[in-house]
Amino acid sequence: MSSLSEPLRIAVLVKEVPDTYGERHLDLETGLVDRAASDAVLDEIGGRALEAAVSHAEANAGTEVVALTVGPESAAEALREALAIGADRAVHVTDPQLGGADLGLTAEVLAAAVERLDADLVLAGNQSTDGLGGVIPAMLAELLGRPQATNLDAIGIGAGEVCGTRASDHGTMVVRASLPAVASITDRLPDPRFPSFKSTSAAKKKPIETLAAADLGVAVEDPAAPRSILISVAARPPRAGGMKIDDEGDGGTRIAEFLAQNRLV
Amino acid sequence: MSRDPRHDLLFEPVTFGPKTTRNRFWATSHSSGYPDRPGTHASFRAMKAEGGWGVVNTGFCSIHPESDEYPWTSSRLWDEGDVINLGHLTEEIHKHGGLAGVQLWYNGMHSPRYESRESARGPSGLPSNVFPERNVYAAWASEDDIKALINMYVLAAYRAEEAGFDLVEVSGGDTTVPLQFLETRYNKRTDRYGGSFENRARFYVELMTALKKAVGDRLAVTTRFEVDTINGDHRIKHFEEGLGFMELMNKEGIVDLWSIKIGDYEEWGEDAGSSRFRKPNWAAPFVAGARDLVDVPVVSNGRFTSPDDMVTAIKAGQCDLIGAARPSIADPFIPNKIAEGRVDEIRECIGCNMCVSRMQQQALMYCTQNPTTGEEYRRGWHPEETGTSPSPSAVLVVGAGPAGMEAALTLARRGHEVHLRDSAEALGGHWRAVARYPRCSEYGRLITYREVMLEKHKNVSVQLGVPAMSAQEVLDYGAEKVILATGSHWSPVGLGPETHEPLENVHADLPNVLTPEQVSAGKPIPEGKVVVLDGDGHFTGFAMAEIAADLGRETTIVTNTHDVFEYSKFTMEMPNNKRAMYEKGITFLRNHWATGYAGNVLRLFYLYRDTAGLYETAPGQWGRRFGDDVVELECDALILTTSRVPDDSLYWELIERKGEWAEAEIDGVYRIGDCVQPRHAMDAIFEGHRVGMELESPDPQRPLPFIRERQIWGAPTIPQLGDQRPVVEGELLV
Ligand code: SF4
Repeated sequence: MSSLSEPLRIAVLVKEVPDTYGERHLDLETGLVDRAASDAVLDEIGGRALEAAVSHAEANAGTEVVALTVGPESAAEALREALAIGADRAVHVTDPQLGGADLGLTAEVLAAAVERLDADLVLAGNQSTDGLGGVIPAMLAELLGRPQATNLDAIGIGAGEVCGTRASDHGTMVVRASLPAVASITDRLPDPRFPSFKSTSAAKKKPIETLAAADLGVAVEDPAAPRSILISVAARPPRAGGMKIDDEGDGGTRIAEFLAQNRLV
Repeated sequence: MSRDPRHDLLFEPVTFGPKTTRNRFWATSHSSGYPDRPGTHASFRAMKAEGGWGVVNTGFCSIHPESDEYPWTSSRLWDEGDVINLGHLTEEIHKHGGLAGVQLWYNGMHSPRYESRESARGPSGLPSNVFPERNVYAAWASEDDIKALINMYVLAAYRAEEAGFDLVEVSGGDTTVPLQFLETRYNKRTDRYGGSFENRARFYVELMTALKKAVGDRLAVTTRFEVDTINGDHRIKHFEEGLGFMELMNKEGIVDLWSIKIGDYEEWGEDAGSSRFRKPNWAAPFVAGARDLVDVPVVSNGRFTSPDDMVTAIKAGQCDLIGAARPSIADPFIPNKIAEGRVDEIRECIGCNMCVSRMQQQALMYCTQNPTTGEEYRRGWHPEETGTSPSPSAVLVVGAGPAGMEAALTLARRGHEVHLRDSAEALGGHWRAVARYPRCSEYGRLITYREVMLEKHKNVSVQLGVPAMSAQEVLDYGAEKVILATGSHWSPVGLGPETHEPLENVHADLPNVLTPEQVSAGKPIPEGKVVVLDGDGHFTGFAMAEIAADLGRETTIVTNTHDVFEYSKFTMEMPNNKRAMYEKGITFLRNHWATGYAGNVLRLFYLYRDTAGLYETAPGQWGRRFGDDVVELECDALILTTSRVPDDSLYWELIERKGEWAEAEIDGVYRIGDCVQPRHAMDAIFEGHRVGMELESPDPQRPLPFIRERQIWGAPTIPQLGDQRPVVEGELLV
């Protein structure tokens, strides 16, 4: 592990997800996301975590930002985008055996990759915009034996610690964790920057290291490992048709009634 | 995608007279200014056939030199030369499966006749009220003259047939001669063509009968009838003589199809109702019941752009065919897009009437929404097919207003890699605020269409809400080509077209001086008397005045021009602008301009306070004697729509650093739209499109030449000197 006086190495967890703004489909046989059915994009909150890391690196020379993902071959695209946004290099864990990996296995793989990277700080979005599990950062902290500072609405990285604020039901908490640590941020942080043409072409020259589960010493078939079981899967019910109000002089009143009935006001 | 079955109805064939059209889409006759350019005209009309319109009509077509519309450019069926040119037009329409129609037009007393210099005939010898400034009259027509008029139509119909048209449509609207006979204000006759309704209808009946006889077994003989002239108490009212006339004609069985409209020549703006005043299908109550009175198909217009509205109008029994002029200009492919289930891709007309405005300036018609209008032949543009670039490049477009959006979209369609950036959170630039002005909501379609289409192109990245770019950032961006579309802003100091000087004591930093941007952003308009100082002449000053008046401010418009919001003369909105101002108590002062503003006094001067005569003012020095009268106007708040100033600083910074472009691997920096010079959105969009189409040219900043159509010296003329005049005098030809 690098000493704290040295520049930081930040591993940012990123993910390839189906575009939230497009149509998304579940494969009803496997319960998995049908990746071919939608455009793949960089996970939105992960992108914000990346932006936080990249802007820290810009202000603190020598900081290294590594984009880390576990995902199919196609996820390399998301990594290229992360590199265009400003990550210095990327690590892609891809393995046919990891197809359909649940959260526990994913966390295990990620933890191994973080160890291998020797990253001081693991930064992630509080949840991905597809699975919405929201537990990976905590699992990682446990597996790595590191403190965690999760769900941060604002983040500061410096002098051997990561700090930030977290909203709770009763107020705002100020949290702090000494490095090495795991931190996750919310969608209150700014969007990632749009990569310029120049950074997009520069990204093509940045290294992506590809690893299999075995390279990380993770035994996928370990029967002792806890695994979640998918009980059922269902498509979202189709949307009901909207209601049309023809204004016959009472349009305003009827809109107000509709809003009141549906508890929208 | 496939067609929504609810829209199947629109694709049923309809038979009228000897012809059957493939669907219910009728591209209504409308002027264009193109007819003297046969290639431009043919390709423009044929594009509608290619886009799926079943029937494509030309514009108004003068049947005889007596009804010469010059300086307006109409089609003409005067001689063999016209047959050749229009023959090319019908051939192009037929190539795409459309039926070609021509509108036979004789406007007599309202025809300026500035080219032919002939005398026109009409029911009475009256001066034109449409062009009171032009001193044009018609001559009382004798019964022999009436026969000659009918013969002119017959000869024109024969020529139309020779040119390949499928239908002849008699204009009985826009105050043409059949309507002049019908309307009491023009018909003062006491013979069998005047007086009673039947007598006044006689000319129209005899005319249609003659045309049916002449060509009716081969061509459809139809009419475009003004079922309500809207104007004045003498008007043809739809519920009286309007529908009564249709019934009468129906009994005679001499009309194969009715295309009905409202609003006469003076109030053409009621037929071509602008979206600021008329919602789609505003004429519905005036044409209601018409279809039930006749046994033949009826066409009704209403700036229809939505297939649902079209289906509703047909199902409600309003009409059998959907007529459209402006919607077919803004999107010649409406029928095909509906047929293919691509309704979201319809480029909806925004009802701005810029098309009409160019025609009204005796110029060439263009369209705000469709930059390819009129460019099909002369630049080889197509509204749906841009072709692909032979050398795609990485293009940065700065500014997502009308010009920037159109440039980015065109570049993306042509396969370039495009980044479109704007510091605003949404697309549209200044046009977003415009679309929120009172009455202007339909203008927002300009943005919506481009938003939808940009979404569909994966090679364009729309980057909104980003910090405004510095020259350094542009240089560092890695773009091969840079297009600046950074727009303009309203002058905060009252720079205007009269003096070109800032006004004394005027700055929009003051609480009682406001620009449109500030009004849109919510800066309060102080109570009391508000003056809108307008040097723009279009709709922005009107919008500001209306906002102020609606807040209860006593509002006056001061303008240097001869009329208030003078451009609205061309968009045909002047009458309704004035009616709305009258209703809201908005007053105006013309031919005045301001010099300064202090306390609550706005100092103005009358533009013509100097003497008319030229005098020797001092020995050897000649000139006017200058007046120094000042008009003082009480003014608690001043809104400035004086002129716009380009936001071009980024451009000039980049020009200054031209030496660094090569190192930054930038091939070129170009600017488009208002940041070059403020202009109508129509021209900004055109320039965005042009730069997108011509990015590979040696200097995309400057347009490539287009095909110019004019008579090249040496070709034989038609007619030639010494030719005889076609004979129309004498007995009826049929
Ligand atoms: S110029 Fe305006 S009104 Fe005319 S067709 Fe185009 S969008 Fe419609």
